[in-house]
Amino acid sequence: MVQKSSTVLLTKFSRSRLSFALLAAGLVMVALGIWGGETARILEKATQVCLQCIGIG
Amino acid sequence: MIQRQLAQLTATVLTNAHFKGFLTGKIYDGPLKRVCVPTLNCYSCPGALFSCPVGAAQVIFSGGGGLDPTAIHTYQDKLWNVMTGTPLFVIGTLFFIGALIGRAACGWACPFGFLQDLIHKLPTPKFRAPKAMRLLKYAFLIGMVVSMPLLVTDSFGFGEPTYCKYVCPAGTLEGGIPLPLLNPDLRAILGKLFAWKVFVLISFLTAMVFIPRPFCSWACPIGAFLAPFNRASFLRIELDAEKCVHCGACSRVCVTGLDVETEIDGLDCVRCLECAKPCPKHLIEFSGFASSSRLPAGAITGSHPNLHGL
Repeated sequence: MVQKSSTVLLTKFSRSRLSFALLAAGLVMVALGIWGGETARILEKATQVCLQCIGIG
Repeated sequence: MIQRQLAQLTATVLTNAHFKGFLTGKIYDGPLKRVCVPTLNCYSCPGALFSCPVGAAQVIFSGGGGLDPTAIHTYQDKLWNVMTGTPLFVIGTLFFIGALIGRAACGWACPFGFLQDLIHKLPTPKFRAPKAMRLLKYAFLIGMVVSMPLLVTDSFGFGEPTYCKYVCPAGTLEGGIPLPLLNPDLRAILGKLFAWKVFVLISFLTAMVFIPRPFCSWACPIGAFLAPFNRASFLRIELDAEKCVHCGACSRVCVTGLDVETEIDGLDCVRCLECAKPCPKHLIEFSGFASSSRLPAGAITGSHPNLHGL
């Protein structure tokens, strides 16, 4: 199987490591966001009709 | 490709499963709203169970005080302010999804992507927009989702969800229209902003008829954010370029109007795998997670010759 060079910038090995790094970074950020109270702020906003968001106010 | 449409329909129903909201005009206010889906689905939709990452990010960026230098005294204060002023949970969620599947959620689970695919099936002449227009979505992400909510603030330090307010057609379609229909009080306060949003929505709906996925290509901030992950995710799409006969059948069915031979799995590919179906040589397939776990395209599309009869 030959991959097109324009779509693959990384070797499979380094790409896998990058994927793992991004996955881990995502998990860390999710944890930090929860710890910092972000989900509570999202919940507070998302449970009320956001008039600005839907173009009313 | 019935399987993909079924996945899109299922995702659309599951993310909007607060059916009572469509009757009462009251949005869901339970704990699931803490969670962001990696697709465009307005959390002010009467049926929405989850939050939209675009809206949620703007809530945090526009929250006020997050990056206010006058509120910073110590290193810890500075760190805390930066942390709470940045939508880490939202960004982390998109990093997580992006690292796993790249933009596949756009092609398989986004309700607004599903709508665009359906409308584009109308039998009319079809056109491809200039490639340069695809850069617009990055401007929307940086300018209207990040910069303006963060920097354009009122006297209390609060910004506003600029992208949602002035652009997002999904918010108009899913919240802006049904909520006033169900609530006379909201109908009474509709004004010029609503007229503008309806104009934007109608413009995109019209474009969808003639151009493949115009919103995804030009204006979706989630697509812009997830685009680079197509180059780094576990999931990949591979095209056996050496065996390609350059018939162009793949490009003719691409849901985002790409030149599949050169742009497959690139920044604008939503990984729907529609291109695999007409390929006479079955050269396009999902791969990734482990090289031994490559899935023949037909395993997804149901068209692979080796899987007939399964």
